[in-house]
Amino acid sequence: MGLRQYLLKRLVHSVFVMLFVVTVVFFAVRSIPGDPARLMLGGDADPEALEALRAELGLNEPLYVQYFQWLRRLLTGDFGESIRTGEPVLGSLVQVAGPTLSIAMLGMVIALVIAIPTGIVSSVKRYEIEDYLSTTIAFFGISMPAFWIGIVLILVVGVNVDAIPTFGYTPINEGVGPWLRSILLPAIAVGFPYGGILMRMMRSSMLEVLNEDYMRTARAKGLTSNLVLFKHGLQNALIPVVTLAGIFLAVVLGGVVAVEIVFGIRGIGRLLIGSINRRDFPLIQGTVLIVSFVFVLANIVVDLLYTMINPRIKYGGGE
Amino acid sequence: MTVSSRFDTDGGRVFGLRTDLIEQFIGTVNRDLKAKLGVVIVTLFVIAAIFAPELAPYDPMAQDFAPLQAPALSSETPLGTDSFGRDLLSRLMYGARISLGVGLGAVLFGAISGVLLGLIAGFYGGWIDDLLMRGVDVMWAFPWLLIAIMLVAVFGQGVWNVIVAVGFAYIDDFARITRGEVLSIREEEYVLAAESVGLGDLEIVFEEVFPNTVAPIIVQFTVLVARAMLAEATLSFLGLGVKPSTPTWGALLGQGRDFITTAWWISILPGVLIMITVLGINLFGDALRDAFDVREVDSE
Amino acid sequence: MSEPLLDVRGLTTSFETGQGRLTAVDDVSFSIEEGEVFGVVGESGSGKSVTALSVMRLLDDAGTVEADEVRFDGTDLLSLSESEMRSVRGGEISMIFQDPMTSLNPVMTIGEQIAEVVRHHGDVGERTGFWSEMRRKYVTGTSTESRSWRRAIELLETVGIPEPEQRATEYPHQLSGGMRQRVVIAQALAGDPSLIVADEPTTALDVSIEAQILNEILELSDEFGISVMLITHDLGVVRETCDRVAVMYASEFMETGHVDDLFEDPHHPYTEGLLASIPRIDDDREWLSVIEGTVPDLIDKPPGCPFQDRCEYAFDLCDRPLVEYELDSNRRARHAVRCHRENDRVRVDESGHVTDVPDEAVAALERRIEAGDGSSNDATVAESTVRADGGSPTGGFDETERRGDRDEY
Repeated sequence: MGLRQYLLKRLVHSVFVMLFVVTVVFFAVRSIPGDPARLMLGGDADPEALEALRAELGLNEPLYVQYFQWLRRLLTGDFGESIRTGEPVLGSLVQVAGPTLSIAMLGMVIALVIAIPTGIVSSVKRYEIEDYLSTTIAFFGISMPAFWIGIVLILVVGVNVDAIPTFGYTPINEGVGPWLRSILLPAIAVGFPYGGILMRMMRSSMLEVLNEDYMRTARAKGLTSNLVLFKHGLQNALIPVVTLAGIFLAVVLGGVVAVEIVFGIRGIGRLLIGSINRRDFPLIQGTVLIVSFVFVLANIVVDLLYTMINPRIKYGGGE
Repeated sequence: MTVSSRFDTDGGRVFGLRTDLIEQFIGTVNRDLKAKLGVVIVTLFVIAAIFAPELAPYDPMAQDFAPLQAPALSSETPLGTDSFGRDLLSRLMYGARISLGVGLGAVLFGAISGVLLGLIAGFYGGWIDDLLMRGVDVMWAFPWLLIAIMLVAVFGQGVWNVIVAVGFAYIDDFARITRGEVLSIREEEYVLAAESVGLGDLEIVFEEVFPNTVAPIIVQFTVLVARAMLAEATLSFLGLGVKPSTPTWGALLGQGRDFITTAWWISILPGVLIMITVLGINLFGDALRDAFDVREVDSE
Repeated sequence: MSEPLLDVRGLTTSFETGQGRLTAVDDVSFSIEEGEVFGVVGESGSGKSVTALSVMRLLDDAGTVEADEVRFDGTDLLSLSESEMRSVRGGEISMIFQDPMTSLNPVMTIGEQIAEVVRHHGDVGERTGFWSEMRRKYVTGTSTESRSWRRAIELLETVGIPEPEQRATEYPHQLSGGMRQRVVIAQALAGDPSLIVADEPTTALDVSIEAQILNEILELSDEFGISVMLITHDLGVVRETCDRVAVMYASEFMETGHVDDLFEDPHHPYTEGLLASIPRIDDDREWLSVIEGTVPDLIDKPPGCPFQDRCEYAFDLCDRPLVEYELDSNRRARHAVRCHRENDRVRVDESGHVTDVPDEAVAALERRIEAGDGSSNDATVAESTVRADGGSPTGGFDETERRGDRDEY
């Protein structure tokens, strides 16, 4: 399989994932019992507004017509408007995306920077103190909900260290320092579970690589153990980890939503939960779609990364 | 040629599980401290959940005490009370029922659906396999928690809705594992033998194929129960879980959020329980994985 | 009498397992002369590979290597520091492993896999430190102008790979199985070694290219004056390629001698059994199935001959610790057998069965066991890197006659 074929296959796959999301979202919202328009506007809405909304949503058309109309609107970038504020969903999301992306990115970076080296050390020092220590910490990481880690961090760090705020978000244009400080605890809360997952994957992947024949070949060439490990082993061990790291970004995504609530940060998570509480269905629907879209995009980036480290895909041929 | 010779030599089955697997697991538990810890924790919490009505000192809904009392082992309410003056210990014990129950239920839902899909795909192959596995592939790269949030938001709260919303995410895991195992064993002699003797498809699936897929499925099941409990906790914390008044660990934690600085125990204690339980289940799952020799990382 | 290139005395390797101590190599002694092809033949699990890995000190921490001596080109390998040992590995002694698919690194170009050996063991003036190598691997790539790269291309040409410049930039999965094994051979030649250990070099290959690859190894080693230790389970291969051969069974060398002597007049019952079961050229059957019985458990291995349960000549002395008996009559090279049937005083009939074991035979054996001959009791334990007792080899060891007229395969 050549590089181009592989990428094409992954792109088609991503399109199908998005289509699936879109379909699930569409039918979920449409299967709300009763009249969606009345549900959206509330029981005491006046008949004219109801009729207008029905027409706008195309509710009088057959379901499949509605579906394709909706698809067409999505393709033109029209994700609908909030029924509370009348603002376009996309615009509202962009306004609050900053904190969410900041937290998710920093969380990811923290997880990667700590988990990958730790996983390697753990595999090399298998059954030694380093291994027990780091696997134990990783175990705690995968066993705690991110939002609870956030609460503990507030109680332990936030209350005692004045420099680290426990509430709210400072945009980056007000200074990198304050920005970093405002997202540090949420990012740790989000990154810890993800790091736990990554570390465990890295460890077990590296353990398998350590048993490979080519590692013995490398030693038989007279290379130092560090060269054997990092020149011959690292890239091989990363190959399976990279794909899974993309999929498990969902952990970061889910974590951010709840962590924003804990830290009182106005991000996409707060927006989503708020729209659920207000039963603002177009906003819920649009938010879920756009965030899913970003998730799928992130996985396309991961796929690109994957092709870079796996020559079996980059250079086709062979079996 | 006897059709079930494979199992005769392995020494029989108990509840469809080969006894050699059970022996392997017991062996691992005896050797491994972590495995012991996992078994103890899981057993403890399951007992607490099942016998909550008998074991809990008070009615979890009764507002019998002064609100926001700090934990004190000597007092009537050893783990303190919540903002409505309800006994936290009782609420946590009842919470274990929902948290464990929903976790198990969600994975059971995913497992039953997924295993069926995987068996069908693996056993029949051809276009059925293609179709099902394409679908499963699509489900893999899916932001599930988000979808679960939306499903609960749309269909309303409630135990069953949460179970389905969370469990949906696990269908693909089970389908993939089952199909893979079926493919690797269906060409083995004993299945061919079964076919030649004229057993029906269903009989072959349940008598010969299914028991052999059991080990990796059990491992995956355990790991996912841990993940499902975390997902349930997140949903409940966000107010999207089982009904708000029902005590679940996630919901208790959410209610305590407003009192973090004044009454930390309300949110910390449920979190500790979630952590210990999930930790226990993960340890248990690792022990199973070691015992059954199932790989953790698999490249596609 | 010139020194052999590699001289191994009383090598014993064991592993601690959950079930007990597994003896993978039991009191093995052999030597390899310069330019010689020395075969080690035996079934899988008999300890052939572990013997080679023990000499290379490539076993992980789980393995314990003891030996009276492992002398290579005048130096005791067991006494070398790890960094000194690294310059031996790949430089003085290189290895060819069984499966070229798994023994080549899938994410490195063929050229670099050869060039790194050149850099580390040759005199090309390129930096081989950790960060230099890491930069080369992950940032700059190997320069195609570098001397090591050009040498790699030369080596690819030497082993008969067409379009070597192009091939050097490719990855292992882009080559066929035979080509891959040629790459492995090039890699083994890259450090300019004086000994190549080839561990089942053709087992994973197609039968049709097996002969080509073997020929390549032999021709090149002949051309460059490299000795070869050929590990195989295939007696046919041994006969065609080796000068001398050792037959290994259940972690012990049962019979060692010139290949022609061994094939014409085998003395160990196990060797006899093997020779009787050589398959025809197109027959894939497992040749060992002919000898009845199974290999004994190597965990907590009892003293005595490991073959006795399967041996039709088994007699009273077989429970006693084995010692080496040297045959002296009309041999092309020193011929040693570990079987008590060879005890001078034991009487054997025409069919090879033992008729009488006089007391003096037992007494003679007792004296040899007492003297520590043929057992590793007096070896100093060397835990991987620890130096072993460098005492002189016990017992005389005849110089092997090197025959110049090795048959080409």
